[in-house]
Amino acid sequence: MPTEVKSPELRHISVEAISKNPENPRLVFRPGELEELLESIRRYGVQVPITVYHEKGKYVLIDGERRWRCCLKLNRSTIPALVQEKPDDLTNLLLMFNIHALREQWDLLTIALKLPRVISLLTARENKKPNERELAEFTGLSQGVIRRCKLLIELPDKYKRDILEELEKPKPAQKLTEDFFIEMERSLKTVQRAMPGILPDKDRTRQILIRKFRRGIIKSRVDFRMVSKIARAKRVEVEEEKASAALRRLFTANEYSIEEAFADSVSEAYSERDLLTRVRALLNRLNQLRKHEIDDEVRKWLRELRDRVSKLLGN
Amino acid sequence: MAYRFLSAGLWPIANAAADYFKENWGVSSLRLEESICPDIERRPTLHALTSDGHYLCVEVSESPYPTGLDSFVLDCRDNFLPVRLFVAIPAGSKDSNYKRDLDQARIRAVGVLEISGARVQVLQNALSQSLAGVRLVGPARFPKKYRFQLSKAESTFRGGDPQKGCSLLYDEIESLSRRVAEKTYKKGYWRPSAPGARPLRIRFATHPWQKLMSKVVEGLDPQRCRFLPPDLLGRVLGITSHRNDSAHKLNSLRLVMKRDRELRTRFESATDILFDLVNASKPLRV
Repeated sequence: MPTEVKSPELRHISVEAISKNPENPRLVFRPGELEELLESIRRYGVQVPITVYHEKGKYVLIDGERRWRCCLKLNRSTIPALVQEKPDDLTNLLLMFNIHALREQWDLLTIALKLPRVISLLTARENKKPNERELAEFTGLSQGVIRRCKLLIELPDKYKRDILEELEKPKPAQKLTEDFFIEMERSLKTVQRAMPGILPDKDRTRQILIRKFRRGIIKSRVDFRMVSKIARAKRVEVEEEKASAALRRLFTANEYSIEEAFADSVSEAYSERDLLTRVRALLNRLNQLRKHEIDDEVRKWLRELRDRVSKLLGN
Repeated sequence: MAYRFLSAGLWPIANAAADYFKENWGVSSLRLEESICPDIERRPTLHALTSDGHYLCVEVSESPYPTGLDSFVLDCRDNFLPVRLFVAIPAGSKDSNYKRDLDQARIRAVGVLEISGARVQVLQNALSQSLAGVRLVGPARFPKKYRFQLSKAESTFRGGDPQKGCSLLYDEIESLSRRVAEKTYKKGYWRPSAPGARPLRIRFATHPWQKLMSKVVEGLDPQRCRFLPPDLLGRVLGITSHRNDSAHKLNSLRLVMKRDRELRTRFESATDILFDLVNASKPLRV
């Protein structure tokens, strides 16, 4: 099952004799980051050799496209490279995934776009579709990353294009990020599962939520976690009707925010549940304590707590 | 067009810049990310050879002066490469260093184009790096009466007319050296004529400069005029032969490089001569 590759050979090869690997999942090369690497290579040279294989008089990149691009830009004639034997299609892809799993992570969408090809090549080789754990083993990615990738793969193509456009920008300037879509998709999936009738047109809902995010009505991508909580209103014994009304209003083009929907539906119930959890935890802890274990400071606060509870309960 | 280094998001900017130079500069073939010279460390995004024997280079970036551009500018200057370098940037930059980088570009004579769609706005023009690399005159170190002319000489030189720039400097040196010659003569700092020899008849303001300076070098007595060192007068005499060099239109890269190399040296040396002469002639109050 594991893929083995022979030890490569280190050489200095002509920069012009190298070509890009068409299978490279990395699609986005942000100018600012390239410029930083360029400056580093200009000052210190290429400290880590790139990895290539030899094919029809040319070298094809397995790892190091950014370093190779910088050397071209810097007018260098050669670049240090580890030259490997030509791998098969699957090994070619898996090598690239594994090299990057150990170093700087690629943009998630670019991994997501290549995963279907990895899955199809693995299925052909192993005669069965790999599960998440196997996929993680082969690619060097964590199962969590693979799950996040799957959410992105399922997005309609127009949103993938939007994300790619966004990825070209420097990281701080990105707004509609992969994380935004992952949070939104997760919450919409929860809504679909918990309240199936509420999303007749998922894509329209996406567009409304994106518009609200762009206009600042939805302040943060993590607000979508509140949407999931609203959808699971039953868990905190809130009437489904109340929660679904808030979600319907949220999924309509208006100024209604996630925070407002949360406050109008389940906020109180979740606070109550939170309070109960804490009180139970405190009681558990108090049950374990013996009289001689508490010092003056703790005693003072327990008295304060007793008085406050008595007041609340009217004793 | 396909670029190997440039990020895909900046391709439209590069293409719009290429169209701009084709339309406005008449450049026919722009090369993409190719080397302009083996000694130059960076390949500009676009480059072409213009009809006046200069390189037009365009670097496409998000910043008006990307970090690594300094080395390219220095390489061009060190190699006397007549490169007019522009940076093309997308319009509407929100970069906090935008103004600082724009200033850097201006100081280093790098042009900046701001591009939005097909609309190109020239924020500042580029000067030839082989000329812009000239050591600055620093007019402030000269007496006030020279400063305007010196600033003019410097901007003329850097602005693409190096002969004229040199000529403006030579004007000042000539005018001062004529006044020095006349004053020293009138003050009796010259060697007395040999008995029976014809007295010196010379029109200091109009006598050919080279001949006048030869007479000064021969006639001035260093014992009587100790503040004017003979080697300084020799240096002035040395530049008189370049005084009337005429400017011919050059159209080959090799000739432009040769001219810029010579004129940069001449301009810098003339600045030094003027500075020394101004200081040395102070006791004469000319």
